[in-house]
This record gives sequence, C-alpha cells and structure tokens, in this order.
Amino acid sequence: MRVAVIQAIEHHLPERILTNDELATVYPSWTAEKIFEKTGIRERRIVAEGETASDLAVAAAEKVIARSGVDRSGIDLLVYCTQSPDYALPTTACIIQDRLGLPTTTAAFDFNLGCSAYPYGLAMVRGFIETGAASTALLVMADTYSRYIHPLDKSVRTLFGDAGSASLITVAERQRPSLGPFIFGTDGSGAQSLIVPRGGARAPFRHEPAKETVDASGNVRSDENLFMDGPAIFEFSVRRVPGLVATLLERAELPRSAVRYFIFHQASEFLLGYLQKKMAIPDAQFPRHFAHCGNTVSSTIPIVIQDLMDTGRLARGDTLVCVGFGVGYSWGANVIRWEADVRS
Amino acid sequence: VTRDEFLAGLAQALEWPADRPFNSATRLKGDPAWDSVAVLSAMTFVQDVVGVILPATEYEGVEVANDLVALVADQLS
Repeated sequence: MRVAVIQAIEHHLPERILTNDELATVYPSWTAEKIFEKTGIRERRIVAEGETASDLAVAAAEKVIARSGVDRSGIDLLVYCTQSPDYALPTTACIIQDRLGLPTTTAAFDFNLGCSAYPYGLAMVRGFIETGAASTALLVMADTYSRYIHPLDKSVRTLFGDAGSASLITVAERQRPSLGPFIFGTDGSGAQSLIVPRGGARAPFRHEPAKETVDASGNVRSDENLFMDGPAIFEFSVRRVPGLVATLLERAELPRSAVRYFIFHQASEFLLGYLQKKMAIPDAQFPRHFAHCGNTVSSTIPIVIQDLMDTGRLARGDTLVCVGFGVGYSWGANVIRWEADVRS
Repeated sequence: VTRDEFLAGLAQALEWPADRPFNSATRLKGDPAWDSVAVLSAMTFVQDVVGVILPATEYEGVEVANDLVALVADQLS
C-alpha cells in the first residue's frame, strides 16, 4: 500500500545563546541553577535582529535536503507551521518555496499552531501523500517567540527558545501505515492562557508605545508581548495529556510496552517530570532533548526524534508516540512506526 | 496530614527561605518567593495531599499561606 514515511529530520538554531547565567543577572531572585532545576534548560537560542522564523526554516530545510540527498525538483509539498510569520500575507510557505528553489508545481501553505503542531502536520502530509496528491513533502516548523517576549518577563523568557525544523516525508510501499493513528482536540476557552494579545486584526498595533504592566511576580510585559498563565497551562496539561495518550494507545491497539519512545512536547522539566511520574513512564521510554535550546514550541518533537536518530537510538521498526499540547488550547498525538529508508 | 505538617511540607515545596518563618499568616502575595514557579509547586504539593489537581483559578486569590490550607482543610487531621 501507498504510505507516507518520515525519511529524515533536521533542525536549525540561531547563533545567539542566552544562558541561565545571563538571565540570573537580570532576575536576581533566581539563580542559574534554580532556572535549570525548574525548567531543565541551560541555554536557549535567540534570533538576531532582522532574522526571522523563515530564515530558520530555510536553513533547516536545506540541511534535511542535504542529509537525505533528495532531489529538490521532486519536492511537491511544503507545509509550514509557524506563529511567527514573516508577513500578515502572503503565506510564508510561498516565500520559503521560492528561497529553497522548489518547483512551481509544489503545493505550499502555512498553518498556525504551537506545541501541538507536529502531529497535525504529520496528519496533513500523510493525507496529501496517501491520496496521491503529493509524493515528496517537507514538513517545516519554525518559531521565534523571543520576538514576543519582554526582556523582564522571567516566566517565559527562561523557557522559550527560537528554532526551525524540517522533516522529509516521502511516499513508500509498505504493508501498513507508518504514521498514525492520530488523536486531536481543541479547547478554545483556554485561548487567553497563552497569547500575544495585540498585533492581529482584533487588536492591531498602536502607533504609540505599548503600556507596560508589572505582575505580582515582578514580571513586566505589555499587550504586545507573550503572556503565559503558567498555572492554567499546567492544569490543562496534567488534566488532558494522560487521557490523550491512553486513548491513542487504545485506538492503536498498542500496549505501552510496545512503545519504544513517548516523545512529549518539551515544555519544561517541571511539567515533563510531573507527567512522566503521573503516567509512570520509565526514563528509557521518555527522551528529553531541550536543555541546549529551550522550549522551541512547534519544533520540540522533531528535535527529539532527530537526536534519537543521530545518537543511534532509533531503529527501523521502532514505535514512537508523539504528544503535542499547548497554546490554543490545542493537542494532538500520533503513532509513528519508524520506517525510514535514509540512514542517519 | 496535620495542619502543621501541611505547612512544613508547603514551605519545603515552595523552597521558602530558611531564615524566614513560614506559618499560616505568612503573606505570599507580592513576595518574590511566591512566583509563577512557586504556584506550580504549590499545585503539585496540594495534589499530593488531596489526590487531584485543583483548578488553577483556586490559586489566583491566594494572599497568605492559610488560603492554601483552606484548599485542603477537608483532608487535614
């Protein structure tokens, strides 16, 4: 049967490094070690002035093209996820198609999700490939939340890093699907819990400087900055994720022991540690890979998978469970039966 | 869990500075130690006591430590 298979994954981080030591000088109540203990992050990468998410996306895509050896003239689908588009319009995927030198026969579009994006992207690409609408796809994700973060808001500046990732997914003949089943969900009542309130059509940017406020924890932000209600996000995650995984395993008819890795969105060590303990997932099945780059939103799951590939911990036939959850609220989970033909 | 045990455990969970007393009258609101991470620590500590995660909104009005004691009062001996 005609199935979609992930062949290779790459990511790209901007050069500028923001360390815990640097942050500790800005937030005297937190030491560098406390930041690491709570977040699991030692440093995060931040884009330079003028550098955008699409720059990271293009760099990641070029890496995956080089790694896989794919002929770019054969790429016929580019799906790009970002919450940091270059422009309100046109679609950033169109700009990326041109910059990558992909043929004009390439279908290209953006979608706007955050931490739940990877399962959504895989499902869309699978749909294109398995219906015959495409055969060679790039699923690209990139975000630059640093652009939205106020420098004096430690609640988010300690967590988020900028990154881009690219997955090459191609058609293959297999006995069963490689991607899926999928479970998705949405609860838009949580939209205000993780939001940049101003800058869209509902509340456009003003001409005068934004008014800054200080919250009870001393964090400074305006309505043009990223706001995260940490306790609300935490509550949402711990209520939603265990059931999401249980439902997926049931639908996939998979015992937990058959799963090589549970790859969760790399939100923070505090949340990951809590979920791992609550769900009693052994360390060996629960990889982490974000201490060097922070919570990179849409790219966290592919970055973990690439690390598993690069370190020789992923083999053909392995079963992965990907779990994304966050801004929206939005969540998604899926199974991957690892079938890559491309050697890492 | 007694009230005193709860308060002692809460102080530990919040990593309350050892050189500052922590009791039911301790003011949390506005204190640098009661930051966004501390609220999450309180949520997980309370969960350990009552067995479920209480809604995040329960913590929005917390001003003193006794407000957290009140959340679990039914479970204290």
